Amino acid sequence: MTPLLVPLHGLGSRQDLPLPLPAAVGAAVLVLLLSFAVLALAWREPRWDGVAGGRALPGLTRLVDARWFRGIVAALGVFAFTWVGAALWFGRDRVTNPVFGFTYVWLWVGLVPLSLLFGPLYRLANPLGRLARLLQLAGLPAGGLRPLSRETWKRLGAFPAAVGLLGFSWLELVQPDNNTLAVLQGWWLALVGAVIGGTVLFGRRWVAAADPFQAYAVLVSRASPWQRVDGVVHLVNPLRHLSTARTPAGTWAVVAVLLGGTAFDGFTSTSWWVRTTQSSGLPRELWGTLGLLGMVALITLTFALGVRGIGRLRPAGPLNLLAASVIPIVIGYAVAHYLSLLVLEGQRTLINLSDPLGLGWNAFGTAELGISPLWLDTPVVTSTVQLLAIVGGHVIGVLVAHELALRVLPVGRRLTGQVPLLLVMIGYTCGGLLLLFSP
Amino acid sequence: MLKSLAALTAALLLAGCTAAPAAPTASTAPTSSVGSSSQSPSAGPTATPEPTPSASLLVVEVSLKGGKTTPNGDRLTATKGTILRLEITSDHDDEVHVHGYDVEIPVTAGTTVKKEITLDQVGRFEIESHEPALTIVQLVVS
Repeated sequence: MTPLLVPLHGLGSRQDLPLPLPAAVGAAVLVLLLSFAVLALAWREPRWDGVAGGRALPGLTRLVDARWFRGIVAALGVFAFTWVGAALWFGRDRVTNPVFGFTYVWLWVGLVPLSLLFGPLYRLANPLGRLARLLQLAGLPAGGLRPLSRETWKRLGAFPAAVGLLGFSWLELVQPDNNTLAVLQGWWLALVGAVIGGTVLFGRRWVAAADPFQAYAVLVSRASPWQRVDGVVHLVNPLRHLSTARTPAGTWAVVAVLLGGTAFDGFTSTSWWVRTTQSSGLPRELWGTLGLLGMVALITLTFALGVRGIGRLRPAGPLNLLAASVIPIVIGYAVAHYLSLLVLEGQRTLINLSDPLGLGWNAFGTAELGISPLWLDTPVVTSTVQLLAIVGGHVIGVLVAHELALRVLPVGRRLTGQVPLLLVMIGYTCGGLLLLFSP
Repeated sequence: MLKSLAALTAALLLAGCTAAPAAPTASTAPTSSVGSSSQSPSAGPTATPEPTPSASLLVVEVSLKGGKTTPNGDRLTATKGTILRLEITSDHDDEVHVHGYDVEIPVTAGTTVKKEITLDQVGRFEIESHEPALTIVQLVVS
């Protein structure tokens, strides 16, 4: 389907696990149950109660707010996208064109570690944000040509970005020719059109609401150790960050698309899926589209069922509040599925970036580099990292869900109300491990 | 997919974990499902005269006919250092691509093409035909 990408997805196999699959799944379930038991005994009151805090870092705040710093990050973003944009429009239509690796690996996968380590830097680097600013400087009213009310913005939340993320997942996982320039040009045109068109209509705020990559980066950055409290950057406990960060409307849709997409990716490499779809008379794209939508629907449905124990789904308050507890699970899935891809194809992209137009350039001196497998040629290490990422993501998810549930549940139902969500998270853990490691 | 959504939900929630031990048996063993493939501890008769003593040979017969592939996306496992020999027969001109190793094998209609590859990288790699794009084998080298 995606010659560039598929070969390295989910390196490692069941045989390489440090322990047999049933034992690994059993251990994971036990870890989750034990974590919950410990929480029930030792964490009885909300610890932070929605109040962000940590160690204030005024020096760092001055640095990251300095014009020159923001200018440098923005310039790097504009440079990178211009460079890769040249490859997209004027490069050669072959897998060595760096635009493929840049889009599917550096951007899509690389955003996760970048935002986890450095916070929402992508917001500064995103050239579409800079373009929107330019439009404003050129005279576009702040609210665009058809300003939206405060109430509408609130309801819109992150929903437009969720649609964009679903579109990108479809491109990456279903579109059969996603490794051709024409298809990628179409995607980027559509994305830029939707973001900039929306900005013209509704103002600069649209970029944050609709740009899928920025929304993904901001989502992941809620698990980072950097958080702004009253404008000042603080070094914070990521658990506290997750349980105090603002989750706009539609956050539940964003996490469902991300988790569903990754799960669907794992699902398509099971031999059952390959055999079934190839033996049927129906086109692959139809299978893929239905499969992707089905997986996102499955995640949405199970998550909603789990949250039902904590609060009524309408208004969607608890759905968005509790969506924060799925963020570490999304990150865990992304690491488990794509870390090997990032390491190997990321290096290949670095090599290809030196020659964006296929003219034999060596602009950054990387063209002659080799690809080092690092730890990836030891399958047991790879599988252990995958196992820990899945289980670790869920344990953090359970912790955050517990803190959030304590905040909203009445005292008498504090534990029982959480049980459905706990079961759902245990289900996600099992599902994630089975998708990764079963044949 | 959609019709079994409810069942899947239940399975994921309730049975997913207990069903885990059964999962491996749900799919057929790769070697038997391929049928015509064989793995011999020593090099086969037509292999190069002096391969490394420990190298084993994995022969996979591939048939591309009427838009279908045999094997059909099966998972094959091999240890690092194994020599993979693909014997490809097709009813049309095609290309078989071994991902990761970046080997492209041109295939002409009606003839059998043989290609040997030393499996020196670990990981999971897809072997694909291009016309139409089908996954022939998922090769797991460890």
